[in-house]
Amino acid sequence: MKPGNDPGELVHWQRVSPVAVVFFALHGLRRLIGASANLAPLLVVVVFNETLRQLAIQYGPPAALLLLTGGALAWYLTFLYAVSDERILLRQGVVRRRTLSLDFQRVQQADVQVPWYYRPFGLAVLSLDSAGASGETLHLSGIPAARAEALREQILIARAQAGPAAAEAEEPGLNADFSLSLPLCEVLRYGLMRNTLLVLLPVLAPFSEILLRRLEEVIAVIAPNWLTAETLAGGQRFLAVGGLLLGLVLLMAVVSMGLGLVRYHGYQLERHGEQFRYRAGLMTVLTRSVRRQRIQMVTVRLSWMGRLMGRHSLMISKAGDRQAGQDTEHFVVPVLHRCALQNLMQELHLPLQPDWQRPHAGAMLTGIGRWWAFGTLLIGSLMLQGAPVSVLLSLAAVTFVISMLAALGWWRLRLCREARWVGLRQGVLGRTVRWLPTARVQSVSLLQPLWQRRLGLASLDVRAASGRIVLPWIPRRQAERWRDELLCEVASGDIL
Amino acid sequence: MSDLPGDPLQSSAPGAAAQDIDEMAESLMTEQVNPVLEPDRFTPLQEADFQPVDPAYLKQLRLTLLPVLLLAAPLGWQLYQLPLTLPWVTGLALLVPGVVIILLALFWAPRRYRLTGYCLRQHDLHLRTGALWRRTTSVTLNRIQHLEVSQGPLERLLGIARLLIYTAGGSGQDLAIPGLAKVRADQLRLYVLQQLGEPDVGEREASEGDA
Repeated sequence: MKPGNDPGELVHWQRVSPVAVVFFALHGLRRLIGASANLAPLLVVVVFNETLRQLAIQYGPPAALLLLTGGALAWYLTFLYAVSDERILLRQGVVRRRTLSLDFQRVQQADVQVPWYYRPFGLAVLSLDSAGASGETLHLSGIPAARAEALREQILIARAQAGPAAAEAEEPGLNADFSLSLPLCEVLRYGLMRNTLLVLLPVLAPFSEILLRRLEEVIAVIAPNWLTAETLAGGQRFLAVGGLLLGLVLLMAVVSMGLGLVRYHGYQLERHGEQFRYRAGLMTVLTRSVRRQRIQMVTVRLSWMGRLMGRHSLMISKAGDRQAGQDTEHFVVPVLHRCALQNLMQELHLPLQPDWQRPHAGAMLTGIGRWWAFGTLLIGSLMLQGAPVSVLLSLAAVTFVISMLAALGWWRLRLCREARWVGLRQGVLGRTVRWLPTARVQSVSLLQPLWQRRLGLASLDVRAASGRIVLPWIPRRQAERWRDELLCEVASGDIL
Repeated sequence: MSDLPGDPLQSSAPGAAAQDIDEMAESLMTEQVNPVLEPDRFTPLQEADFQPVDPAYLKQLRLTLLPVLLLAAPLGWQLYQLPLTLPWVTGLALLVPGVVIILLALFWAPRRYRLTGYCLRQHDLHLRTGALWRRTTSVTLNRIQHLEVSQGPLERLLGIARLLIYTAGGSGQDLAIPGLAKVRADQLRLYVLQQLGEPDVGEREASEGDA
């Protein structure tokens, strides 16, 4: 993004809809919360000082409200935009006026979002990510949804003309080369599959006693004579804890399904030429697209819950993704049954029947050995300090279980090198397959620790901008050959 | 498959004029190495292709071991708790890290120095490093975004430099070639920059050097 100063160009500045004040206020609120983290020391002083606290309680909320609405209004009044054939210009700033110019050809990603407060007015937000590592996203908020879509199409066409392969940007639903839509039941399955909330359970388990006591108190208030702490003995107590946990699981599943529905309701994926695009969302409708040439990594995930339901999920990382591992930043296909997965993999030109290879068995032995060595050291040092035998035994058991899990992990690990892809399959209960396109490789490292060198083995560390894949414990000759082939492919990528 | 002509240190006095560097870089460019590049044919990387780094790197490795002596402080504190006299405490506290340093300086540093090497070919650049955990990192020239020559205080004292190579989108450098004679580091940087199709960069910097 650079300051737009084309004196010859006639610029027709436009204002966005007044409803955009809501957007600016929400943005301002987000920034205020972000800034308040820096003011934490001041907050401590305010909390502990009686006079300041009273003042803050009395005048804080109205002042914040005034600041927010005033700021949002000022922002709205100074925010202007102009669109020409080649670029978009934004003028904003209350005190210091800035004019930003973004060439369509330099746009990396163009998303159209329809937040819930814009829906009644038929407005939308156009978010543009520019080329370059600054990571600054440009939001054009409060323009008519049709105009946002048209602008997005215009940008895609401009970018495709600039790129080596022209991508046809067409109206959604028309002449798509491939399309995939997820019905409601599939989206709900995603909520069940995504077990990030279930991870909370082990964390909550130690608090189940406290929760149970609270529950008892609540019951004692509602029905004093029905259930007392005395009657809750033995098996009953056990049942109560079990019931509580089950209730929590169900609650989390419902919450998780709700969150999934908000994000992926009405999911529709299409491919137009080299362009993949999806559109989804219940409250805020998000349109996200990625070109085949910009794919940096494809991750196919089968969680243990997904295994039970026979559903995979697929995630495409592309150039310019800032936070690795965050679903919200990536191009996601949340739920895929086996058949749909095969079709999509075919569309992505991923190998359908890859030639999976096992790493050398030594990997498993070092995997076990590492944990046993660590466990022995820990137990030995605790023994010298006179720790009780029960503690030592339980530590030994934990070490054994972890080492067995590590061994199982290595046992199930598979790697492969196919035409144009490098793949790695991992997972004990679930399964994650990561594919890295060889055309996007940035650097290749051949690693040879002492023991691998003795066995004539090596590991290959293949890096791209959005992640890396390590192909461990393969014969040295093979690793060297793959390295040379990969380098040759990358070096000739620009020539071909 | 040697890619660079003889050691630049022999042909150029320290503080050689930037013009000489530029000429050397040009002579490097004219030399053709692994020129064949077809998708179905690749040039394997040979161990013999690697160039050694400057002998001053060995000194640098040995000098960087000295901070191990700082371990004497916590060790001395521990020993001070035991019923020992002060000379014993000081002696033991210095002896243990001292022995570690001597062992590493005698066995690890020369091995690491011997195994550190780089290899520049027409289309790629490689770095081999590591005494026990060996690693050969390779980057193709068309992926390189920018290059830096970096010199810490110790390196300045020893007259060596590090060449840092950055690729697009990565965080931090992808390749850091340590222990290069300053002249050689500049030479490599100019050569790679010119390979990347930025000839004016070299010329501009050379003229700046003259001024």
